[in-house]
Amino acid sequence: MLSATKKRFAAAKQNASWLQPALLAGLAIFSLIVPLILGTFNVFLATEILILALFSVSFNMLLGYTGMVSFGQAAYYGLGAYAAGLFVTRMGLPMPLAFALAPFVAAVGAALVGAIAVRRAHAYFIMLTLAFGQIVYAIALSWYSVTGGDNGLLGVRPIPLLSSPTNYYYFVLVVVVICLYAMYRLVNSPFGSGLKAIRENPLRAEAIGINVLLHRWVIFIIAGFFSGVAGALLAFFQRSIFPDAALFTKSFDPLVTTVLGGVGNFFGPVVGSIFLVLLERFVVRFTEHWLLVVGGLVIIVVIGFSRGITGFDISRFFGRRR
Amino acid sequence: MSSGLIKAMLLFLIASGLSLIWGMGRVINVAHASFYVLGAFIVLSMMQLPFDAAINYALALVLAPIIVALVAAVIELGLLRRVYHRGILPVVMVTFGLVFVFQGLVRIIWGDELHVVNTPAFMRGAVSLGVVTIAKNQLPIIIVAPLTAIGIWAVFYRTRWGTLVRAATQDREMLNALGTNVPRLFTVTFMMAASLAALGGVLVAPTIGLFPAMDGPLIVDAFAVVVIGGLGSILGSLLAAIIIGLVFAFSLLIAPELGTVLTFLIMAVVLSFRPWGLRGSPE
Amino acid sequence: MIKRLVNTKLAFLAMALVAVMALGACGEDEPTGPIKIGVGLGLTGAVAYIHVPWLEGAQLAVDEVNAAGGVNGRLIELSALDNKGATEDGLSVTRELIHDQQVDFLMSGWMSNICMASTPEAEDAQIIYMAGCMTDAFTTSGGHDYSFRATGNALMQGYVGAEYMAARFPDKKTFYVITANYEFGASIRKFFLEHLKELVPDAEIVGEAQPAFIESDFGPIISDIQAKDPDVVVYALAVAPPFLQQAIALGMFQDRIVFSVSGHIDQDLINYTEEDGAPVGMHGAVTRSYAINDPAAEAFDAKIQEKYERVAISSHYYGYNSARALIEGIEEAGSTDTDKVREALEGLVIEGSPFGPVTIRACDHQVILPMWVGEAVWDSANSEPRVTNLVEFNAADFYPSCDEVAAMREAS
Repeated sequence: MLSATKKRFAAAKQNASWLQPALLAGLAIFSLIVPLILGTFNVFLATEILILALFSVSFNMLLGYTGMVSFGQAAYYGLGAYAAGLFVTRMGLPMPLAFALAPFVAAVGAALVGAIAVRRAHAYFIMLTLAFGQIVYAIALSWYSVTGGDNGLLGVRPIPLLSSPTNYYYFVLVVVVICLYAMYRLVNSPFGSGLKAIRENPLRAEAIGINVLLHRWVIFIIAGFFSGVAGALLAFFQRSIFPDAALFTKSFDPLVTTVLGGVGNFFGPVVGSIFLVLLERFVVRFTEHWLLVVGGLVIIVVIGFSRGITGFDISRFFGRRR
Repeated sequence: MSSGLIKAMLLFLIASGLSLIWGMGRVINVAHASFYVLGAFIVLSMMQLPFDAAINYALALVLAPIIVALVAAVIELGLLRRVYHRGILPVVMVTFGLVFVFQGLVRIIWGDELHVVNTPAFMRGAVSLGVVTIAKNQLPIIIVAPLTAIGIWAVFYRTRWGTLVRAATQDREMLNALGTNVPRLFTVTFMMAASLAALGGVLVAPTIGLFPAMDGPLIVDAFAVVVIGGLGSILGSLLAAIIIGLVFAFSLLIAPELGTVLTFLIMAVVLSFRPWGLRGSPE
Repeated sequence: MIKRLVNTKLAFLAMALVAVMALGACGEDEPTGPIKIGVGLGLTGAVAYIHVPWLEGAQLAVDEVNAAGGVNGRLIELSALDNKGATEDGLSVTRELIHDQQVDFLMSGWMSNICMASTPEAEDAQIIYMAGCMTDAFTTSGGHDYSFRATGNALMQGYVGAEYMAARFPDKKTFYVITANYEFGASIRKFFLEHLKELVPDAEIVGEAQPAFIESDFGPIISDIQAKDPDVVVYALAVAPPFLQQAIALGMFQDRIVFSVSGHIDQDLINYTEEDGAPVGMHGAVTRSYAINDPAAEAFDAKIQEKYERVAISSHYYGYNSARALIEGIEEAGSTDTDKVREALEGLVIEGSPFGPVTIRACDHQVILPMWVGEAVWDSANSEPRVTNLVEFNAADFYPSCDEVAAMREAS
């Protein structure tokens, strides 16, 4: 009896191709009215979720669509954040200009690192991206006179119009939606098909004429760019930036949200972000050992869901390559 | 200068094991420095035992690597084996998760403060060797690490087991075909690598303050040593560790963050011109 | 397709969590309920050893008042959240206290980076922020209508340090200065060096180090000190015990004065044991008046001993004083209205302070405190380090005047 019901339920779900768009629509409507129905603190939470979602989707451009694992995306997130902050505080640029320029700083960083890193076999790519992340962190921490070191940069204020939590939330919402749309169009374009081909089998992709290195380099820059946007959003959200934005544990965040939410699905990282931020709020009430929980969760998910949480088998990327 | 040398020796102890397991099993253990942390914290606790401080430390030198080796065995057999067949990425993600699990466990067991090891009397004060003054608490690593390096070399090049491990880093399928139980060999190698890292923790613990997240700064340097030295090569790890140690000492004179930049640049250069490292073999 | 199914599950779960959060947000204010004071502290992590006592001190003040019936007929509720001493967490804890818990008043502990990051939030929300951080900037260049401080600060400590050095060791001319590479360290360094140069023009700084805020390996710095051989090592570190332990091991103390300019030598020596060797040559400021017969301090020490079964340290004093300041301010204002309490606090004499009655200046909201500096010795009878040969200083003698502070605020 029960199994029959389950089967019917599963079948209904399978046929319910309307389900995902419906959920997305629901989410979109909800995100529009958050400040109206929830208090300031939850508006802050929602803003955090949006920023993390953008960062995570950009990460998934590399992981899910091209099969590249970067453990150093926090570098570009941090670069975007510090660039925005420094433009406003040290160089006195108006916020809109600072915000517009910051992601390009991140993109330049990604271009330089990518030029060295994307040529390498996968393991070395991971090492190089991780190492560069550490460089950004070390410089942010030590270059006291410029970055303020451990104190961080303070007084990173947005324009007065965007100073209230609600207004800033809507600003972030608009920016994130635009960026997500841009990335969505990208992965569904011929360029995006090239990426997926590279993910499946780089040798074959090369053989059919796709310039693998160029694709990888370009997507690495694009991912860096959008990570920088997320970083700039963070800077004006916190009105301050601290070196932790570039710490390698921050690189872990998009990895977790993407793995939990679904590597093979464009919106997976978005869902993962909602889940992760809210879970943290929930868990932190009971225990201070949040990182332990996250680490354990990732291990369980990776081991336990042998087909990947999305059904998209991550091992298809790498097989038994030496 | 002494701090550069000490860093080099510590990196060698951590990276040589990492290099072996990477070379042999294509396992990138991001949590390898966590074994070092465990070793250090075990010393912290062992110094609280009711015996004479020097005896406590001697016990720690022997027991900590053994305990950590057992922990490593549990991880390898219980967790990593389940994901090998799925390629590099799942393994890396599991080990990345382990980094935080270890940090959390250390925090729970020992607490998040900056801990200071209760050192035995013979480790207090300093001794002057002509130009350079070294702290007596640096003696353990200065004496034991080179001996360990010689010991590792001896095991590697003079024992049958060492020959098997070297063969496995070259061509594990062939070795398997010839009848060696490669998975078991790998487990043993993994345990040995972990105990080396733990030994590093035991030796260095008296000289620094301990905290749960102390693996962070080291793991990137350890990877750099592996890359520069070449996968699977002990001598390569030693040479690379010395290079990175010198870079570190040099950067202390100018700016500490320079060390990180230089390390990255050296890694990048090595990967561009000689990707198999100083002593690895081209594939 | 399993893909869709599992994603959907997760999405529903996320929705459910959102709904729970939304429901949690529907809380009503209680105008006659307890007065809520929120405090963000580093209760775990490397700085826990100075923040847990801070909370103990504050809690003692609150419990005393509640036992006597509260303030203006209302009880006080102290809500403490852990920010691990990290700046990013510090900011989010502040936002949580202000916007989620909707506290009436805000306090925070020693961390200067956290109070500087949080003070704009308090200003925007128009909520009184009684911070315990050490950077002078909190009440000078970064001060605003609602920021108050009932503890000492880097300026006081830097100046006092220089005064002490000049007065007690006028013949010691070569200095090595170690200050943690963050807000507090930079402040103290600036003020100590500035004032030292004024008092001892031929003082020479032979070396400096700015280690990271939480540094665990002082080997290189100590080697450098031994190479440069200064008469005096001056340090201001957030977490000093590892430095001291390594310094003792390396014999850095021999024939040298080691001066803790950060003003809380009792906390630096907290892990000190007799085996470490007597702290010969260690000097520093202390909030706890060890050797002087000060009734307020002795009474306070007794209270802490009774409630927490431990010796009172500087953190207890500062936590208690901060809470007392707020309590007395609310009492005098007769309400929790922010502007009324602000007016009450300006110029308030804190009667119940463990320092004896001290005044909060109206112009910059900074309390003016006495400080004692002396020499550390090992007290075998009680098995603890003590500070003797105390010299008393009063901040009123050298703290910038109201006009000078106004000029600093203008400039920023």
